[in-house]
Amino acid sequence: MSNVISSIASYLSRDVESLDIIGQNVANMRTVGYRTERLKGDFRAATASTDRTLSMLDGNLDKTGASLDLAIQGQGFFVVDVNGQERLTRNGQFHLNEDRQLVDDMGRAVMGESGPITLYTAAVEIGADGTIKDGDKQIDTLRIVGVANADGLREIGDGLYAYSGAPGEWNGSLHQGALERSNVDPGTEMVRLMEVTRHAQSVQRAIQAYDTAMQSGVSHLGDNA
Amino acid sequence: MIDALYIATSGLKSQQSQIDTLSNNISNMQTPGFKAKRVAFGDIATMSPAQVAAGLPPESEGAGSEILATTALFSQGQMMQTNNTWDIGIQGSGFLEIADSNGNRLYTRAGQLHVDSEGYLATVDGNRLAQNIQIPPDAAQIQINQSGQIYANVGGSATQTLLGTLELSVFPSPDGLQSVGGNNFAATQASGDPSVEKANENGTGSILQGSLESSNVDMVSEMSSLVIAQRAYQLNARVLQASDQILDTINNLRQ
Repeated sequence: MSNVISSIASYLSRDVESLDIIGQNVANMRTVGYRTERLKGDFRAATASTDRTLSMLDGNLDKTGASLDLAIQGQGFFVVDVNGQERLTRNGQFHLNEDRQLVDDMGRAVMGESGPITLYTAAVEIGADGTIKDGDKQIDTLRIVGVANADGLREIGDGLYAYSGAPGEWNGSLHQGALERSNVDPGTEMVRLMEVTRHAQSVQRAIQAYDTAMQSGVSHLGDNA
Repeated sequence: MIDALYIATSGLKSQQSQIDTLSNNISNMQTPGFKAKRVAFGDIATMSPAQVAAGLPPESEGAGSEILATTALFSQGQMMQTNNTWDIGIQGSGFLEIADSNGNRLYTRAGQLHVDSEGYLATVDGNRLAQNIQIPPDAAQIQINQSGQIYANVGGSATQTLLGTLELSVFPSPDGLQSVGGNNFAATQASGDPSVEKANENGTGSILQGSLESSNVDMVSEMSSLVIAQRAYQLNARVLQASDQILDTINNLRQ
């Protein structure tokens, strides 16, 4: 009989988890290239799943005019080198390091088709397909990995994602001088927040109702009076 | 406990520092040579690289947002004409090298120069140019050309004499420069060592006498960022509030 309470209570833990995800999305509303997280499935699911999925919608483009600010549209990701491992990111706030190599905010090298990219002139032109022109010479193409299956992406912090799925096609375009804002939609998050708060209250009511029923069952049933 | 409380707090902190940076940019809108700063945010995931390598799922939903870096944007500001002899504007990527009172080398784009009591060229905060260019008190008709050469008629002579040449420092990665206040920057490992070059050569930029480079702060974009930051702050506060409410619900499971 107590498993009724514990199964109702498991929905409460799911609410808490949803709340954490909403919190994470809202906290990263202004993180360039951040992808909105969602808990898979819904409240009707018999067993609470803790799997998460990422929204692959494009975020808004914000024109900055800086020549090394890049934004991807479509299902593509930039590739950066993290201690020899390739990680994906949508955050295109790049700049040059002391060796004039193209790096991200944390100083990690951005990969082109033939490895790290070194730029020698100030006149850098990056085409919609990722071709890099340093001055008037085409030197490389930015490596952009298409993500076919968003479930294979894992958020690993600092704007990076690890991808375990098959590489897919990228048919989008690249914009120079713009940044892609996160694809967090404040309205949706707000509605979810209300939903979660109210759902938790309903669960509380359900538990209280069951508790009341049990109380009368235990203390009054069998009363001979 | 509910992680959302701490996650929302990290969001509040991030937006707070965004607002701080924006207000610093806005208050320096009229500072010659000022470069707008920009905050870069990143998400925090509670996952170690080893877990990632093993393909394990994260332990929780993530732990909020953090500030990766605050960098200055070194785009060119507009030239504003002042017609003052010692106002110079740099059109290009070069910096003036100055030496502070402790002998440290600093770099600036603010070209409001003056001649100090001992005849040396100095910036507004009294730091001399590292080149130690001395201007004789009787110099008249001072002309600075695009290459930074300073000519003047000295001692009532009718011909122009070369008093010195302004040199500019260029960095491999200006984004790595550290702002040290007073509109000055210091070289860091990330910026690389500067190379001192003649003006108008190797991309250093040309020198414009009688002009100052205004700040590159864009009022419209600062204001719209400010509005968004404020709303993002509010939304984070709402999440905090909701977390509190759910905790309250849980505490009252059995009344």
